[in-house]
Amino acid sequence: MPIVETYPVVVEGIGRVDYSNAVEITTEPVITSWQNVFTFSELVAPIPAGGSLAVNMPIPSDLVVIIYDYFASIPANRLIRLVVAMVDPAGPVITVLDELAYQTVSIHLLRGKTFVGSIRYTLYNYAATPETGMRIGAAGIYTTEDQFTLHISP
Amino acid sequence: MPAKQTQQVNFRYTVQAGVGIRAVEQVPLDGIISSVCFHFPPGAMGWVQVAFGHGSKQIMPIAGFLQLDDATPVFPTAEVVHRNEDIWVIIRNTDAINPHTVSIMVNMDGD
Repeated sequence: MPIVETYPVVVEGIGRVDYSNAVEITTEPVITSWQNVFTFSELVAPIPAGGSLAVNMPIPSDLVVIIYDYFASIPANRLIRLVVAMVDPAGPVITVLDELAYQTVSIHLLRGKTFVGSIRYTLYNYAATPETGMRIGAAGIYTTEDQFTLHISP
Repeated sequence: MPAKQTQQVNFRYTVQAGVGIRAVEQVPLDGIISSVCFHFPPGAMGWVQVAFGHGSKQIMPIAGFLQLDDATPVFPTAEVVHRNEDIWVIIRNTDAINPHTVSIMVNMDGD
């Protein structure tokens, strides 16, 4: 054990509180970001035989959604089609994706597609019977329009 | 002939405002002091004075005191010491208000 002696000394000035002293266990990192996770999932049913059904997902006016992953699936090995479009109230409907596949459409993009206004998912059923088990999903990020202009758009 | 062991002695004290401390430990081996590391916390602002030595000899600094802020210098040395000899630190907090926590780590090589 060390021998410790203490004694008074003449003070000469005033420093600052050492905020790093003994705060290790009480500090937790707070992760903040201007991006937020966007996910969307919905059961789209029933889709009439040989017909289609559209789902609109409005986006608040001050937000921008960027989607990287798209998904549509039915519980049977039949032909389906997923069309994703951006519906801008002030502009035309822009088709972003149009994909045909048996049972499952699954798309993963390295560079996401940007949406404002609202997103329209249109599902097609080519079977002779109505489709009641179509599930769609999407994942990406959303951010405010200001931050999008500042950080992402060229 | 390489040293057979390395030992470290750590002096770490929270020194209240207007208080000086002299702390003494014993050298655990025969050999040399290979380095001394001083840690001055942020906020010390040069008001905390530190000195280190062994026996009756002050070696860091050779005279006077180190007075730094938010710094952790390491000074290599090859000062010969003997087992059970005293090593000591003096920490003087001349800050009028704030306590400060200072560390001095002494590395020794020897048998």
